[in-house]
Amino acid sequence: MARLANIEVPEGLIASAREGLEDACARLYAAVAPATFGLICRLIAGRAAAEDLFQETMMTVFERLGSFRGEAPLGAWVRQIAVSKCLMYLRSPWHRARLDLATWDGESPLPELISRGESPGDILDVERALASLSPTARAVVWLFEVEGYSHQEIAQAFGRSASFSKSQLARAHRRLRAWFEPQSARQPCTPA
Amino acid sequence: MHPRVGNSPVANGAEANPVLVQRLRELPPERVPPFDWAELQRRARSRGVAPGRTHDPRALPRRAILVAAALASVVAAALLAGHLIRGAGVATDRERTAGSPSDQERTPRNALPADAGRDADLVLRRAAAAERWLASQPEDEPIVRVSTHLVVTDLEDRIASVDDLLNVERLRKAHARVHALQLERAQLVDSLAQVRYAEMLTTEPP
Repeated sequence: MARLANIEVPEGLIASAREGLEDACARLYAAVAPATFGLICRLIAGRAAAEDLFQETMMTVFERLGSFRGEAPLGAWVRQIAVSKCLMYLRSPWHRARLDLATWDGESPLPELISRGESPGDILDVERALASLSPTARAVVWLFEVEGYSHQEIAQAFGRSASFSKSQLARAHRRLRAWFEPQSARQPCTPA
Repeated sequence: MHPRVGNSPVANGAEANPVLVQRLRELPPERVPPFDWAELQRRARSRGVAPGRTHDPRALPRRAILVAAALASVVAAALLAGHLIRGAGVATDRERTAGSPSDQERTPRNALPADAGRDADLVLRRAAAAERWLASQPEDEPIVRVSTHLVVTDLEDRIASVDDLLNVERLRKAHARVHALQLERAQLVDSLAQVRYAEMLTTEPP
């Protein structure tokens, strides 16, 4: 299984897809769709939102295929579009509010954006650990550690400073470490 | 190889757990897409876009691009305004495929594909949450803007009229029609919540 940024597609296939040849478009879609959806699911936790963003991404890819210059693998270009769509979604105040609303019972105070794990020390599951992060922190961790983005690139994508990216990453790692730390190893925060 | 394998500087500090980072990188990079190429085409056509037909912006003169962009933004602004006024709101394609009133009228609820039913339930749950949030908001904003106030009252009127229709259809036991109206109402509530939320953001002190 290939990571999206490494997926290369033959130039001839891209040229045929640009001309709108049905078979070429279908083959190109099949080449990039699984890794594109995989990346979007990592950045956006909700399945419904991930599907919407996947659809938006794929439509944009085919609309803009004419502007792909072939300087990098096609997958890297698709990744740029997918990441940009996901971050735009995460930056939207309405979507952030809706993430909260989806779990709100209407009476208690609005839940925090950062969900809290039930028993971090017991769950040795990297997927769940990742899911415990806030949407922004999860995106920063994934882009930095897995996709190889620099702090500068992440900051640019979020429209923030590089220190925003660094602090999000540092906090996210502290939180992730807590998931894997045995209960006994944790120091109490108050004196005995 | 990943550019940072074995060397993960978190803010140039030592916060990162290398084992955890390695496990993150080992997670499967692919997932089965929710639909295939044919379905993408169908969805694109329903939006008036042809996904197989791409354009090369380099082939167009710069001035033509600027004029087209300006025209597109004017049309988009007009469409958005019209969309809000009509209360069609933010229905996604999945929501639309799950709940077009005419389709629902023709198709009984239990004949819908499983996905459509699930998505429709999601729309209704989201609307219920949005409605709870709306109920927690003050009746009127401290600062009333004429433009948004008109949209809000129009959406509220439309929700009320859908409620009336829902009562009638429930009495007639027209289940498919009731379901379609519920989805329409959910979309209106979602639109209303969006407008009220935007209004709240603009009136909040920085």
